[in-house]
Amino acid sequence: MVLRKNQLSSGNLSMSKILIVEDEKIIAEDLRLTLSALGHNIIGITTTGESAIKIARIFHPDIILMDIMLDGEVDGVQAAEQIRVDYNIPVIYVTAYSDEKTRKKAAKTNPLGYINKPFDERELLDIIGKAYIKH
Amino acid sequence: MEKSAITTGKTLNTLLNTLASLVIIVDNKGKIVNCNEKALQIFCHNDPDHPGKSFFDYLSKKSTEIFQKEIEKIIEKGVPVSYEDKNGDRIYKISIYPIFDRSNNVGQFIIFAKDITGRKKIEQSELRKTQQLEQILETSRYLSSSLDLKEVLTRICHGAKEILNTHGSAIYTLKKDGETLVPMVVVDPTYEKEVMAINLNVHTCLTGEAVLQKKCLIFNDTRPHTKGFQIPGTSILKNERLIVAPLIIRDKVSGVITLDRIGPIFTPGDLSLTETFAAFATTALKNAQIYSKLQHEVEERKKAEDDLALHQEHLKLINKILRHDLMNNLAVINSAFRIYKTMKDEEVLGEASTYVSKSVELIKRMKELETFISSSDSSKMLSLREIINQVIVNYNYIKFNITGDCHVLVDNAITSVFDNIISNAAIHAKTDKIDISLKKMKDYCEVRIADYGSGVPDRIKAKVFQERFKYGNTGNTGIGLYIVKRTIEHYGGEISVEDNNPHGAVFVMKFRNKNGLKKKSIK
Repeated sequence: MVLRKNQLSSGNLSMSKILIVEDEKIIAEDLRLTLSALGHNIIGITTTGESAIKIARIFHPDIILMDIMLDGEVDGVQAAEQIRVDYNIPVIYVTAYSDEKTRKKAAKTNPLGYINKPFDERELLDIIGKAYIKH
Repeated sequence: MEKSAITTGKTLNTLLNTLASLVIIVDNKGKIVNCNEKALQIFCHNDPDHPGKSFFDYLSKKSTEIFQKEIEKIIEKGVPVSYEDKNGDRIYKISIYPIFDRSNNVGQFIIFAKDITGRKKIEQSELRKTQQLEQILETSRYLSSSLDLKEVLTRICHGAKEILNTHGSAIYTLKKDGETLVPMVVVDPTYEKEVMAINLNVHTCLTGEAVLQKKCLIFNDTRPHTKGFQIPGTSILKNERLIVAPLIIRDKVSGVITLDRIGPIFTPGDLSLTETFAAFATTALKNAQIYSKLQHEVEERKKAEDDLALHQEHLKLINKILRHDLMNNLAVINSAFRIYKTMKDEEVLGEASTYVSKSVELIKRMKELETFISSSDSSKMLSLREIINQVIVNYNYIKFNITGDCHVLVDNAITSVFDNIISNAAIHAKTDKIDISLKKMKDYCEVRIADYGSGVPDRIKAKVFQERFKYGNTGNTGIGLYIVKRTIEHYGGEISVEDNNPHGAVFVMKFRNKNGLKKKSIK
């Protein structure tokens, strides 16, 4: 069931700038629609780590939703680490499954949380809300 | 005065006769002045005319020379001398003392000769026993100092040959048929190659008697035996002797040790010594059996560990694929339905269907992986051309040009190898033509699959065989070429990718042939 904007309390999170980095276009679109419905400002969707770094530099989003396994040379963890070091932008990882090694590597980048695929809208909102409080 | 001198002479003779040694008194010219009865009997052979005769008349030329040299020493230094000398088969300790006259010159010599033959024999026997013990000890040390059975057995043969003073020695092992003796080690200055070249039948040679009778045997006269000696058919010398002891492990004869001598006969003492060396050889054979068993067990265990590690690696991969890739596909399908509910966009349903197909493809790949894991013990020599011909049936829209053929040791997983490469060329590289060449090289078979599609860019050539590496819009599961590489490596082969001319890619595979399987690497 798709929740409408008024069914969820977006509170002071409205109009936050979010960048979605996800190589599965349908999942990216689903995230965009869901978050937009909750009042977030999706500044863009990209499928690679390299372009995520570029967008972060130019648009400086408040939060980045980052898929861990991405197409291309730079994976989600590598991109998140560079963005954290260079622009201090927090990341929430979106992942279907990651092994222990990848999780440990990801943990070193101090993410604000993890969203498991397939995501649940309440879980998504909850994690993003907590991320704002943390940051 | 005269009466007194006669009495003194008689007293002296009586005294000399009571001594255990032979006593002779000679003047400085070597003439016998007096001797006791034992000396008269042994040295002078009871010659009644011995007084006044030269002592040298009763000595051998060699003994005379020694005696004269010793006398010279006494005259020069004026002190007694002692030495050992032989007379016939007896050994004597000779002690010569000077007798000085009134002018203090050496006028006479008194010679004491003590028969020490018995003592010498005991000494020599003890020395020989000590040497034998040392040799046995030295040989026994080799039993634990080397894992090389041949080296240990050679030491045993040398030790036995030296102690028993034989011409040659050899150790044979008995084949499982219980009839054939195979030479393992031969130490023989004359017939080493000949003995080494011939297997013996226990029923046609004397050596085999020890196997049949299961005990150590001496053949001091080999001529009456109708069976051959060591090598059947070779001539037997009159004084050629043989001693053979069986090597018995767990009550079964496993081989024999043989020693041959030309000359003195073998004695019961030699029998004991031979049995000792047979015991050494038996221990060496047992050690070798235990070592071989251990080595086999270690190899088996290592192989089992390697297999287990490989299986664990593949199970991890399967787990990762199922948990990530399938979960990801389900997430896409889930999102597609959510979008459809909101937007009523039917296109996303089509996308969802694609992800269902991708999931099916993934599950098929899992089947390939399972085939690869479970097929490790069913390898056989197969014609690669025949396998390729079976695979290409499914690609009738592609023109194939196939040359050559090779037979290599592979299993069922080989079908997936060719299917993956051809499928990639057809679907991802979109080729309409594929050339396949199979060339026999010295150690391997080279298979080249060349397509005329979009090719593989240089920057990803090294990555295409990596686990879960995906490239381009048509990149699917990312494990197809990974399975290909692992399968070929499992066969001991290798795979690489090159550019084709004018465009496309060539996948080059090397499979070990019969020669190559024996080598560590293929060149």
